[in-house]
This record gives sequence, C-alpha cells and structure tokens, in this order.
Amino acid sequence: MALLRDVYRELEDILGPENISEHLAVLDAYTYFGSFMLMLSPKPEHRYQTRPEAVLLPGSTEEVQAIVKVCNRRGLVFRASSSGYGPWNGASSEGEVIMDMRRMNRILEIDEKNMYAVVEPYVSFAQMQAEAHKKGLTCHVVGAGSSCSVLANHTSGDGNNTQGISQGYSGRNLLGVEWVLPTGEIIRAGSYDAGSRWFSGDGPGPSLRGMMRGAAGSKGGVGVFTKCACHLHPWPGPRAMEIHGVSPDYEAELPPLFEYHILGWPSWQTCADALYKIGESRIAYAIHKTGGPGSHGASIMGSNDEYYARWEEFKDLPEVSFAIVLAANSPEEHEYQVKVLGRILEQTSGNILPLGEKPIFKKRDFINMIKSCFIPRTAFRCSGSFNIDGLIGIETLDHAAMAFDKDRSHRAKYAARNIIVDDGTFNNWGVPYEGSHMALFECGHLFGSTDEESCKGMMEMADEGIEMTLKTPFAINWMTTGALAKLYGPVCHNYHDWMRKIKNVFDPNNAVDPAWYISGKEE
Amino acid sequence: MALKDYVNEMLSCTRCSECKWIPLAQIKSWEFAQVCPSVGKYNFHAYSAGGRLAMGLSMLIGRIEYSDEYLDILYRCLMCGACDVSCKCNKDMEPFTVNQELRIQAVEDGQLIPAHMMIIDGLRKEDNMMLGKKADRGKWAEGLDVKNITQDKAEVYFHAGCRYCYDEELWPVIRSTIKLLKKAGVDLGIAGADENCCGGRSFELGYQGEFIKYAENNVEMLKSARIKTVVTSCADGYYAFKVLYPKMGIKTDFKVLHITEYLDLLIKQGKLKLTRKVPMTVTYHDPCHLGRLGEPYVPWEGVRKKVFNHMNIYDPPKPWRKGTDGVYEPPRDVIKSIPGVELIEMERIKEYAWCCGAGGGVKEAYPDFAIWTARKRLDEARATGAEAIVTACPWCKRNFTDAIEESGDSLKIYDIVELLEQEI
Repeated sequence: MALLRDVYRELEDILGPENISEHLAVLDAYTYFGSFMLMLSPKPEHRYQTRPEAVLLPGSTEEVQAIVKVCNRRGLVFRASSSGYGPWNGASSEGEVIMDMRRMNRILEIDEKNMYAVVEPYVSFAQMQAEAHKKGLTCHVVGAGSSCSVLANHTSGDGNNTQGISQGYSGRNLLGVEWVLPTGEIIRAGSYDAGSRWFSGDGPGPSLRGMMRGAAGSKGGVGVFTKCACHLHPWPGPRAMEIHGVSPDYEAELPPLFEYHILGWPSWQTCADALYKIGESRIAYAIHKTGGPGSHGASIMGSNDEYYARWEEFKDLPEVSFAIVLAANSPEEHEYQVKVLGRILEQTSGNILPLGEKPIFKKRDFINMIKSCFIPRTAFRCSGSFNIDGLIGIETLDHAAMAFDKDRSHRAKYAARNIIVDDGTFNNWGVPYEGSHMALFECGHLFGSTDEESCKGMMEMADEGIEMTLKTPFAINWMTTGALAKLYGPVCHNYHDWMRKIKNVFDPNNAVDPAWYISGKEE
Repeated sequence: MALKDYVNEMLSCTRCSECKWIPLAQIKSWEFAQVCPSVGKYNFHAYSAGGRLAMGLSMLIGRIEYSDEYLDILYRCLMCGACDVSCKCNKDMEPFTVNQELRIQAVEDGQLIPAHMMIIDGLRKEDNMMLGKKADRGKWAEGLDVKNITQDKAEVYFHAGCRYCYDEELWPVIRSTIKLLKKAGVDLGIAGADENCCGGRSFELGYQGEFIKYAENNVEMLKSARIKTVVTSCADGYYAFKVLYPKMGIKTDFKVLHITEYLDLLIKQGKLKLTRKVPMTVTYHDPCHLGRLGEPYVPWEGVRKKVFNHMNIYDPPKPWRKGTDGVYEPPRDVIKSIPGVELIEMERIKEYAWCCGAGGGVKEAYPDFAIWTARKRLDEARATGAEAIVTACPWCKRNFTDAIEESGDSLKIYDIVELLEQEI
C-alpha cells in the first residue's frame, strides 16, 4: 500500500524532495535487521520486517512536529529511528512511515561547569565521548557500543556499560528533554522547561521521567525525542587517547594513575560480595563480567581465525571473573584505590588473574572498556548472532549471582545439544552499576544464525529461560517491553497496565508504532 | 565467486552501522567521525555498506527489482573501501567485495548507467577511460629523453595511467617524475602511445570483461619487454597491477611499486639526495587505492567451517584484507625527508582516511557528489593548519583541484613529486 499522493506531497513539502523516499531499494534497507531478538531464522526472507511506506529524514524539531501532525491527521503510524541498531527501529504495521533522525546530528552545547551536554538524536556515543574527553569529561556509553545514539539510549532504552559502576545507567544520565508527543505537541521536561538551562532532568519544571521512559525505556513508543541533555562525568585520562597500530589491532598504553586487571573469585556469591564492596568504596572507574556474550579472548582478537588459533591462551579464564579499570586523579588516590582493591580481594578470596596482566589485554581490552568499541566482535562475529536465553534482569548483585548460577546448567543443556557455541568459556555478561546498588545481568549465548536447528533451539532456550525468570525474583529488564510486557507485567506489579495508561493518554490516535512498547486501549 | 555465493556475507550484517564511522576506537572528534561519503551526502541508510547489503540481498531473493533508484544507490558509492575497514575491525565480513559483486551483476544483467556506458565505449574504442584518442596517449612525454619499452630494453617500466596521460594540467607531475628517476640512475622505460588502460577503473564500474582484457594485454606487453619492475604514479593503477591482477587470477612476474615506494627506496639507498629546502607545512592525504585498498593480495583458497558447534572459521585461515598492510609509511617518509617540510596529520588517516571523491565512477556520473566529498576532505586538511594538502594520485589531485577552484579556497594542493621538483 503506497502513500496517497496528496499525503506524500504534504510530507515532501515539509521535508524537501531529497529527504523523503518511497523507493523499494531504500525501504528494504530499513526493513532488514539481521538475526537478533525475536527474528531468529537462517532464511534470508525472514530477515526482513514489515516494509514501511516511506522513510523520512527530518532536519529539525519543527519538521518532526509537522510530520507527526500529518500522521495524526491522515491516519499514518510513525516510528523514529536514530542509529537504527536493533529490530525496534523497524516498522511493524501497514501504513507506517519511518523517521530516520540522521540529519539531526549536532552537539548543541557542552556545559563543562555543570557537566552536561545537549545533543540531537544522531550524535553517537563515540562522538560525544571524544568531545567530552577534550574537556576532561566523559559520557555514559551504552554497552551495545559507541556507534549508538546518545539520545536514543538515554531517552528510550535501558543501557548499561562497563562504566556503569561510576556513571549509573542510561536513564539516570538523562537530564532535560525536548519531546514531540504522539499528537504533535512539544514538551520540554526538566530544568529546561523552567526557562533555565538543561542541568536537571527532574525540575524545576516537570520531570515526566517515569512516563517518558520508565526503567526500561519506551523504545520510541511515546513519540519523538528531538533534543536531550546527558550528564557528563569526570575523565581522569588524557584529553585525547593515543591509539597505536593499524586496524584491527588497535592498542593504547594505560595512562598514568590507571590500572587494568582481570579479577577472579571462587563463586558467584563471593564475587557479588566483592562487587558490593568495590561499589561502596567507589574505587572502580569501569568493571564488567568478562566476555559476554562471546569469549573475552575474542574481544581482543582481529578475526575468528585468530581467536581460534590462540584459544588455548584464553580458555582457562575462570567462569567467575570481571575485568576492572581503576582511574585516579592523584598518586594518593591511585595508591588508595590499589590498596582498597587488594583488601577487598583478600576479604572475598578473590585474586588478580595472570591473564589480564598480559600486555595484549592491558593494551586492547582497556580500549574496549573505555570506548565500548568491541561489541560486534563478541556478540556477532563468532557465529553470526547472539540471543539472550531468557535469564536477564535489572536487580541486585545477589540476583545476578543467582541468575549466573542458574544459567550454568541451562547453558550446559543446550551446549550439549549443539544449539549454542561452546568454546569452554562462560560468556554471560553483567555489570554492577550505581555504586553496585544495582546490577544488570544478561545470560546471552552465541548461536548459529544461518543454521536452522540452532535458530530453533535458541528460541526454545529463550522460552525456557523466560519461564525460569518468571518464577524468580529477577524482575524487569530492557527486553520486557513490547511483546514480553504482558508476560512480565503480572509478576512485576502489573507495570504493563501502567504503560498502557500512559500510551492511551499520550497517544490517543495510536499514531506511534506500539510494537516495542505497548498497544493502547484495553483499559 | 558470483553474487549468490555471498549470501552468508549479506546475512552476517547485523546493522550495527559501524560501516558509517571510522573505527570507533579512532574517533577523535564530532566533526571528523564519519567515514562513508555516500551515506554522508545522501543520508538514507541504503547508501551505506550495510544498506547496500540489505538492498542486494533483497534483490537476490526477489523482493525488489532493478530500478533507476537501485542503480543510483549502487553507483553513488566511491568504492573507497572505508566501510570495509571499519566493518572488519569487528566482523568477519566482505562488504566491499559484495558491493563490487553487485556492480558486476548489474552489468551482466544489462543494468547500465549512461555516464559509465559512455566511458566504457571510449575504453573499447580508444583504450582509455578519459574519452581521449589513443594516438594522444603518449603526448605527455614529448621531448623527454626516455626509452620506450616497445622498442628499447629497460629494467623499470613507468605506467602513467589514463588520468595522467590525458589530463594536461597534470603532465608536469609525471614529467618531473621521469626526470627524478633518471637523476637517480634508474633504467626506465615508458610505453608512450602504446600504453593501455590498467583496467582497474572498469572493474570498479562492474565491467569485469573489459578489465580482464586490458589486464591480459598489459601483462603480455610487459612480458614481451621482460620488465621486472612496474612503477606507477597512479594509485588506481597501483591497485590494479598489485591487487586486482593477482586477485583475478592473472599471473604476473614483475614487481609493482608505487612511485612513493620507489622514491622512498631511492632516497634511503642514497641514490636520490634531497638538499633543497622547501619551507612548508603540509598534510598528507592517503589515496584509497594506495592505502587501505593497496595492501598486497594474498592468494587464498579455503572453506568456511564450524568449530565449537557454531563458530565460523576458515580452513586454512583466511588472510582478511583489513587495510592493515596498505602503503602508509613510504609517502610519509618521503615527505619527512624533504628539508624544511613539516608534516601535520589529519584526524582521518591511513586505513580510515576519508576519500578524495574521485573513485568508483562517481566523478564521471555524479560530479556534484565528487566535489562534495573533496570539500569535506579539504575542510579536514584546513583544520590542521597546514598550507597544503599533499597526495600521491592524479585522481585525488584532479578532484581536489576542481573543488578548490570551485570554492576559491586558498589551500594548495600538491602531488608528492611536486615537493621534490626543486631537486631537478
């Protein structure tokens, strides 16, 4: 079903002819998302979602608003997409248009004193971080990688990363926003609304943080965010990281007053005890579960062949291990951090593993932990794709420890059936964040994305994991919007009912694609 | 391998969009973070490597058919290979090769664009990509005391290439090159009017048959002349002789050197002494075909197999072309060896350099896109504070010169050889 000509002309008038397309060759590029999440199939034809009617490239908030008003008036569904990574960027219904926010790509302001930056939707984490580093600051970078959009993740996703322990997660780093509602009204939330600057997300002025994104993010289901302010954090490293080497083997020396280690513990519980202490003492700059998904060794190798050739070197990495970066502002602080870490390891039977002391880890994984530039190596390169096996949550470190423990047998069962990659390492991923008050754990596994049995088995594994999760206190996670909200809602205070109420109030005409958030009505 | 053999490559794309950026670890600023001129100008995802994979797969499985828009997307690409380097930082994929195969398939299917057809017609009739006459090919060398390998014996063959032969404004560069090499005592020959196109550019446009024909002709001519070393000042020509000939199974028994490699060698051997001071601050632009695309071709035949249940590896291990071994240091060493010259680097260099805009048939078919791309690079050069941008390819020099002329920019543009001219 093509757009009616007069509708097309209305949109074209707003955008200019070069910024709208309904050519099939263009549209199919916005329809393909690989084999990920709910689309596990080796068949090429299954890799394409619903084809949108048109793709639009707005260049300003005013253009976004005008498009949204046309959609409401003419009965079109819309969805906004920024970096486009993940199936939630695609259309799910007939008569839908995609707004690719690529032209809105500016960093509008960096306020050093108040430690925030104001960005448009297509600023990537890598760009933001590079500009912040120049001023002795840094931004929270989502674990999915620094090619992703700062704004999309902060306003609409649930992003954690290696530096979560010192920087919190995406939702916490969101300050003021400019938000085009599904009806076309514009709301400015946080201190920005009070005629002030962007320094606070929660006032003076309305916060609306719970309604605009909640914990897990609305995945574009409640309108279009056209500007947001993100919190910036201190960066004790150099103003420009000096990277040596030629692709793909980039390396960096640890700056003075930095430490990189891989830490191991005898059990998940002792590990959790240690991470609580590390969080409480505020000594860590970055920390994350080694690997995940995919071997930690693979994350520093330039190809699968290289990883396979050197696999023996990495295979003994203990299951219970985390990589850590310490970063200090003074020699005294550095000494303190090192001493405290040593004491915590003593108290929790932990140790510094020899593997992490090898220069190749210190020089390469250090870059990974700071710049989040390695994700496809571990998540996608090995076997084509990965999927969460159902065991995932945002909760305490005790919950994370319990989940990792449970996943041991879950994983072994499917590895024995040749469903998932089994290189002898344990590659779940997790990070403590907000000073270890919270933790994200993701039991993700690599499967053969071009293998029918592996795809089917992975789906079965995920279904079984979801059943296990629903019987535990693992609670919500970043996947529990969209189709899974109805499953998780009843065991989590019926949050899905509240999401629907929000949807009904903000989007009375069902103008926004609800697929990865929740549909309206059904009160 | 044909396009259909690359389905797994297309299915490997996870839409991470890293093909749009320089390698993430190397991003140093907001302004110079992008690496793909195509999506940079046209914005729709289809204009990126990932988008073209999705579009190509869609074509292959019958979801879409050829259209003007499809061909526009396919050919509004500079074939600079930057996407390939960024993708392969983290993935085992071949986006550049798939893009090449999409072009070959389009040509085989008779899906041609007029601007390219005209050039290919010219090639077929006059053996060059510049719409010039065959008889005029050797004019650039008139008055130079240099051997012709079709008549005389020489150790080293200098291949001028179509752009240099027919772009009169650029003739001083290769005339100086000949003088420099002779000064260094090189036993040098050219082919004059008998020189043929290397075929590389026709291959990039998708005309595989033309490429094979010209490659075979060239190899035959060089074999007859018993040439041991081919030197060229054209990065495209270097890529064709050094990489494409062996890649396409055309056997060669000569060594291939770019002029910057050869000059570097001659300087380091003491055969070329640089004594004249050139007080200038310059920045160096890596030509794509000399840099990331110019890394030597390593023959490989093998199969993909699975280990650890589903991990994909290659047996024997595949020598991925990741831009790692391109020609990066020789031109820089030559520049640094010139007394008085100070080299300042741009942000995007070596394997992740931004393209000049002249490649892939874009200058011929979409000249506004070519100039747009050059301007972006000139902005980056200017940001270094350098007085001049120096390059080592006639296509780069031509496109930069055109962009500078259009904008009235004060930045100077030189080929490396022009910095050495005072020595002769």
